[in-house]
Amino acid sequence: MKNLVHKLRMERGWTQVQLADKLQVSRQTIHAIEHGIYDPSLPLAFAISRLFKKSIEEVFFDR
Amino acid sequence: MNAPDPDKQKMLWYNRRYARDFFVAWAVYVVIIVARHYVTTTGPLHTVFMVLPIIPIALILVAMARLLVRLDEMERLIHLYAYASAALITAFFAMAYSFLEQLGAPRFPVYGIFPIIIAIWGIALAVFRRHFSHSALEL
Repeated sequence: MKNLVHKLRMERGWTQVQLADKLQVSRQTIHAIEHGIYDPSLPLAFAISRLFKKSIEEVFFDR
Repeated sequence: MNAPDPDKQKMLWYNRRYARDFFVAWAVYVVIIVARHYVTTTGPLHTVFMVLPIIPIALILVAMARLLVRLDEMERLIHLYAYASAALITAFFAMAYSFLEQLGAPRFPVYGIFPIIIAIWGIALAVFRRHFSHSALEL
């Protein structure tokens, strides 16, 4: 699954650690999501989308 | 000087607490095993004394479960992959060795299974962590 997490994070000027803190996950998890290594659970995907004020389909999409 | 990485600090806290719980349990285990060689008991007390090492083993399992609860979802997935791999690999080799025992190979003690699971789990954990940080493996 592809996503725009890295782009959206950079637009807001947040570090991976800051985003991880907002989502209550580890920095490694943010790194893995941004690189498409790990697909987040549905609750986490919703939390990410809510944080960026986007719909889930705008942040995550098929390859 | 760079500010300390709070995420790294959080992970260290998890690992420190887990390491403490883990090594305290192993220390209790060693003390009980050594004590069993020096203390002579009889009757029901002897049975209790002989199964006493199961208490620190239970503490180790509790420490592992507590760590699992504290981790975030990706780390938890990595740990669960490692547990599953350790269980399946150990089961496979235990079955394979049981066939060799039927051919006369020395009997393998059942209490050796748990340390083997832990050892394979540790190796699997490193492999899966590497995968989720570098995607070096295709799963």
